[in-house]
Amino acid sequence: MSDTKSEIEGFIAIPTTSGEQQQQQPQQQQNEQQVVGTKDIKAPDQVGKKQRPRLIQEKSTQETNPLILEHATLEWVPQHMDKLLNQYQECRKMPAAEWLHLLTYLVALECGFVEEETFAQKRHLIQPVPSFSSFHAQNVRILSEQPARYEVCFNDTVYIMRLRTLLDKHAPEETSLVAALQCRLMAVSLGDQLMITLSPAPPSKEPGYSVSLSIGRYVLNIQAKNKPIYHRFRKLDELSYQLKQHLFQPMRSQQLMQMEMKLQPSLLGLPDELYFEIFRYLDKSQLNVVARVNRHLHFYSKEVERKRLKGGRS
Amino acid sequence: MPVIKLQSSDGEIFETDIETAKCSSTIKTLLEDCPVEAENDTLIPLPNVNSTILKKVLIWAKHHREDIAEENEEEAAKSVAVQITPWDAEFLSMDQGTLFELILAANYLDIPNLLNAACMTVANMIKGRTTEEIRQTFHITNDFSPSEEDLMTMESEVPQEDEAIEYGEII
Repeated sequence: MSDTKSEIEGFIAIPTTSGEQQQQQPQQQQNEQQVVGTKDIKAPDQVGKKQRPRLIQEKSTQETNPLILEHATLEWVPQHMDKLLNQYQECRKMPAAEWLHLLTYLVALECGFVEEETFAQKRHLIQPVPSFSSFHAQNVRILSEQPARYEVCFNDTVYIMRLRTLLDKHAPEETSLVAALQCRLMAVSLGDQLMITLSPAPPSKEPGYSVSLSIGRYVLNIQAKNKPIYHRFRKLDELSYQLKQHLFQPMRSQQLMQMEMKLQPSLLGLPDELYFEIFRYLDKSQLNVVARVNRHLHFYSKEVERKRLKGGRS
Repeated sequence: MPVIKLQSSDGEIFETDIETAKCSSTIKTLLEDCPVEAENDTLIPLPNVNSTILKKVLIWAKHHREDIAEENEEEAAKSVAVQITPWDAEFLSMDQGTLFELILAANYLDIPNLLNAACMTVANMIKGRTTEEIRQTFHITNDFSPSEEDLMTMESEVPQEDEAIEYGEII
């Protein structure tokens, strides 16, 4: 892997060489040919991808002060991302899978999660996070000042981190309820895929959530010289969506339900009036389907039907 | 144009023009409570909206500023039947957690058009799906007992009475 990377780095440097230098150093031409061959055989996508100008798709307006990873560009990244990555300047040769794991941790911070040991150290500085929200800019920046703490196992193919969900100051501190806020983030590198699982801490019997990510899609194997590490990252908006949608949002919602936090950003945690706002767009057959999902939705869908019947007769 | 500052629950401050901010009835009311001379450069705290969501709200409001100015109550009443615009559809294409946070924020800030569009988006995520698919989509656990499920199955098999039929009093 390092040889391939070295060759690719050499290839990157060659285009900047002047014609005169090329003539004086015929060996470089031979290296260029070799690298071209390597590129064609081994990593055509990676070489092609390095020419992309932006982390995300073109947008009409540039985010000069992005708050979250989703809005990061090659020119501007969120402060917390910059803070965390600055602590890994000496680790540029870290595996791409590990970089992807760190990006996952950054998204976790944005979703109201924190590594347990970091929480223990910084809890006196952390602001409460209400149940109906998840992101807290100041918290994220404070927490990203600490390096991510995780275990690396099985020949550097498994990364394990213990997380805790942040809540407001009224959250109880009983042992059993604190346990409900804890979970384990495990990332397993399987070839070009990173399998990420977020599981509740034992002895909870609640389900965990998982997602499989293509490592090369989000982290390039090529590190440009004299460029910040985040230039290796691509499609952060898509990555952010995948992680939030399939891991952190459902886990946080599940934990809040266990804590009996009624108001939360999910279909089961809305004020009464909002169910009527949503269900008014559904016809009777659709309401009947919703009524069979669970008890909570059964109640509100039947209420909507009753209101309609009452309104129809008046 | 007069500018106000909005402070999110996590301490971030956003500057916007007053006309854009007034799409929120909540902010409009807060502004009306301010002295006229202090309206410019006013800082309004919004303790129930975090910075990422407030930023999205302002993006939406800025885009719809002209729409809001032209709309009257009669048109608002008709908006129920209006489809989501392509811009709104793309804007509301986000992860569920963010979408529901936006709904809560629109409700708190009292921005009817944004609330309608966001709720319609959720409704569209429900339409055309089976019960199990809705559970999977929204990560909901089935908490019905087997007997309750059987009862609902039986109820769904009973022919529905015609809603137009009204039974009179038996004399």
